[in-house]
Amino acid sequence: MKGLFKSKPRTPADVVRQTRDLLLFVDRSPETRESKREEKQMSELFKNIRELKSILYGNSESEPVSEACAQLTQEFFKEDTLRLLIKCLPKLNLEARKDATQVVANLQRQQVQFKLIASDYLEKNMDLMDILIVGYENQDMALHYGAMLRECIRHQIVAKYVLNSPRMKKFFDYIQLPNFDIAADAAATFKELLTRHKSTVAEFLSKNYEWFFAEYNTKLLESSNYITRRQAVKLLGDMLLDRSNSAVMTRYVSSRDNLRILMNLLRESSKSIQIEAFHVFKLFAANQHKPADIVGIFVANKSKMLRLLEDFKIDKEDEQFEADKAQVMREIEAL
Amino acid sequence: MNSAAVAIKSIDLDLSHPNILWVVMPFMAAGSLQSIISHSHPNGLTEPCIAVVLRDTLYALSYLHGQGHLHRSAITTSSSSSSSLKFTDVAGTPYWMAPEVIHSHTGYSFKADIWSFGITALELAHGRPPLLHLPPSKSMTNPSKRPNADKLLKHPSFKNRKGTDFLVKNVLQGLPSVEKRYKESKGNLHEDDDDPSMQVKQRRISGWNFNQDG
Repeated sequence: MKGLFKSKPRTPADVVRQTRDLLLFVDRSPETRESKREEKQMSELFKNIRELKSILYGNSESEPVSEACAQLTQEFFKEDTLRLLIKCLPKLNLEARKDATQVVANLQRQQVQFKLIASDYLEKNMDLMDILIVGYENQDMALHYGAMLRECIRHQIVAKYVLNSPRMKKFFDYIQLPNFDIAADAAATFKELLTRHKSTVAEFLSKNYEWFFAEYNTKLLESSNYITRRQAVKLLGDMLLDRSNSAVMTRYVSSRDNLRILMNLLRESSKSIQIEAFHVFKLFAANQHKPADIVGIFVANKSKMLRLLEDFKIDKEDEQFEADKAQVMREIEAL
Repeated sequence: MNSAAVAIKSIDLDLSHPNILWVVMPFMAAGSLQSIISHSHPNGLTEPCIAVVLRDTLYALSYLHGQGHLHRSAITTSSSSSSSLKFTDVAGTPYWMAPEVIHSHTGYSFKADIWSFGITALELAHGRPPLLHLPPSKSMTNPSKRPNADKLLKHPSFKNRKGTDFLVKNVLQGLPSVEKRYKESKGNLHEDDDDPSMQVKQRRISGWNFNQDG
């Protein structure tokens, strides 16, 4: 008879449902949490979120179980659990925020019958991305929302939405926020947006060439902040050297203003910036259809360029670098 | 931060996949422990010194695992003249990667870091990574049989109260500076070239001529 009264262990779907119910309760509660009942509900919510994380990531005693993860994921996206979690995040304590962030991150990769069902949910709920992006303006939420956002833009359809959103322009400011942690997080998201989904990026850059590179040059490459300049010239090289972006690259290296900026970066006292600038600068030199004004700049600075490149050494042996340098010097000498 | 020398590194934070964040850290004037060992202790450290390094590494792993982060190839530490140890990593280095990370189709967990910890212990003792042709113990390739960081911290080896002062006295004392070791054996170090004390003064090219008619 005793066995009849044993409680059945909760399934992953049960944990999701209870979490959702608790989130609904928290969502409807006023900001002030004075009653003991509300405190108990909050504590229960924290435990449930921790339980979700444990199912998805495993713990020091056990590995995650695929079937349990799939069940959890399916139930999670059946209704608006994600919306509630994002909306209620500011009301959670720090540990629960971290756990929730990790849960959301993991769910973006969970397959249910070989399908990423998170992508389907996000496609119908893109306004959630707006909340995550604007999170960079909230010091307490930025790192959590930023981590969630970076996981969500792994889905091509989400990345496309964010790139073409008016809020894309805000990243040029977020990257330079005075709070280093938040600026670094925004920079990581920015890089992911501009490098992961190649055909989407190529289309975006072609369509938005004028405003995007105007902002990129003035706000990032010419920033007074060393870190910003260094990250920006590195990312610029990654973008332009990607085969998918060859049309954009051809356009970029035909601009005299762009060449001026890269030449100035080549003169930086930082060796790291010089190296990254060289990888972009070599594209100007290698361009077989240089406009006349660019040829003019090369000719006017020929001896200085050759002297700079001659003295330009990197610490590690790099055959490719030396070969590129030799090629660039030959191109300049031939002008 | 205005006057202190700093090192700028990128470090992986694993939230199901690598993200790279720039992190400003104290400048570790003595350099990496690996370079110290290869220069001054080619046959490895003594057991008491190893215990200090490993204990601090376990505290770091225990903290990270408590936060839910996997480190995947956690190894060794760096040190500074101010007697503190910092936890660092070599991402993706096969020597230190647990078998289940290399065969990543099966996924991995906190136990992967314990594998790397074990390899690090062997390196500290021998002065180099263990020989790859020797088959590892079967029980260690099974993640579920490895203890976690907290359990390891209870081991008698880590009970003694020797601090990092002990390490400084026995390992760092009389050690040539990073710059000198760098010159003696180029390639041992992987310092960021923006390290202020290692910046080589370059002949600067004077301003460019951007006039159209030039």
